[in-house]
Amino acid sequence: MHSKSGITNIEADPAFKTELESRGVRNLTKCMQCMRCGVGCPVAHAMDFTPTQIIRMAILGMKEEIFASKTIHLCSACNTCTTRCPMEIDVARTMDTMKEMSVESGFEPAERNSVKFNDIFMNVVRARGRVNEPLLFGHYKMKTGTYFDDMEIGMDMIKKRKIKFSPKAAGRDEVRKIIDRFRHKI
Amino acid sequence: MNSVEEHKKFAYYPGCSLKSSAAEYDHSAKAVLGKLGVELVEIPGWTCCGATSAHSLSHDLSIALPYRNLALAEPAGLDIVAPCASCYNRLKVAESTVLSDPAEKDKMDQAVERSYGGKISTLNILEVIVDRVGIDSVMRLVVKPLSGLKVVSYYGCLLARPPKLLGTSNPDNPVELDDLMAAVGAESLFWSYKTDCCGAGHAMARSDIVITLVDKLRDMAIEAGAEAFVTACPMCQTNLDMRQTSASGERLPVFFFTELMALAMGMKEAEGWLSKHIVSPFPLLKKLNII
Repeated sequence: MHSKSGITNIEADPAFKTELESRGVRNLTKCMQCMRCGVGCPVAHAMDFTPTQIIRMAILGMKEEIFASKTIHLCSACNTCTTRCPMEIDVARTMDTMKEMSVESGFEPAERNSVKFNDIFMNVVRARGRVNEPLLFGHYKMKTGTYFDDMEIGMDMIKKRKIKFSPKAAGRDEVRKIIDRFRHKI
Repeated sequence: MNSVEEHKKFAYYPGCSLKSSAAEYDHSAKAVLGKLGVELVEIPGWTCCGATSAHSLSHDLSIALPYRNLALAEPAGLDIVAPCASCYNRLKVAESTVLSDPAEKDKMDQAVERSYGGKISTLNILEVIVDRVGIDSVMRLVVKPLSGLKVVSYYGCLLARPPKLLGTSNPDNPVELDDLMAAVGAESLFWSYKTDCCGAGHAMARSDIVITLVDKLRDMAIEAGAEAFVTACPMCQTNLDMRQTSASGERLPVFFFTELMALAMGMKEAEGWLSKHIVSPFPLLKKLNII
């Protein structure tokens, strides 16, 4: 909310930091904003907040802003930030944790297709025990309406016989139970 | 069986990619390991490790899916080799998570209804070849050195990071692939992008990010003087092979390192594997009289 002075008042959630800690995020408040995570991030160019900013926002309890950000979904989990953080904050794990919390709370994600892709990936693994690439690609295109993206690549894959229907795995019933136990519905 | 032979016997976790779009990595890895005297026993009933998607949705799920495979493999008493960098990474993260935290282990034992106690562990394929078999053994099997082949070794993220969980000794400058390329007569050029990210799991939903990162890697590889990439990760190989754009420069072939080892070892099957690549490596290999 903007005041006359131009200073933005944020709706902070002081419990957010505690919630992250209870989910295994360590050392969060040790962040000294050295920006090594932000400058080393290979995907920062596509993000709306750098990882450094997101860590600060997490400490301040800016849950809504974080859940609405592109950043948490665009983290590629390359772990460059985690490796370089001098205060031993697992930044990539923190991103995952916030992504999980946002999905759990039913928040409309800024990168809807990324969340859909992960959900469809899990549907395929749930049904077959293993990834089946033609099913994954087909379901993804149907659910997102991106039928005409990557047509050329699809044709190349077919020509080179890269697309294979792999068989169902013997342990798929166990995998289904595991996924049903832990997955949050989106 | 004596201890030397036992030392070179592993449980094999191929993972989903090697059974579909990266089948040439599965075939070449098995052929090369076989030639090096490594015996592989595929883990019976293995299932998906969850890859990028599980850890994006649920931390518990990202541990439970690989945990099931660790538990399946443990009774045979053999360490696991996982050629896929992503599978390797997820299996290692699961191992270290449950072995460092009894509460996590209890949770996984209940959810998976199987148990893993840390008697075996997971290795990546570079560790198996370089540490367990040895570069000397590789050199002894070279019948056709890959003279004149200039490559950059591209390790990507998942073999290197996070170093504390994986036990990586040099996460910014790994050398195993470079050493193996030298052993088979190729020239592995130094560059600063060995462990940079290719965009990984964004390939479908945000292919623009992958294209940006892949084109940068390609530009830097060319600047280093390379004519091809060498990888040890199916996701890196797929992204590099499929997403280089031709607008800003030539597209470089992207080899699995095991394919190049097989060529140097004189394996005829290699040409069949290479024919599956999107960027054809044949013009380059013919120019250098390698095939």
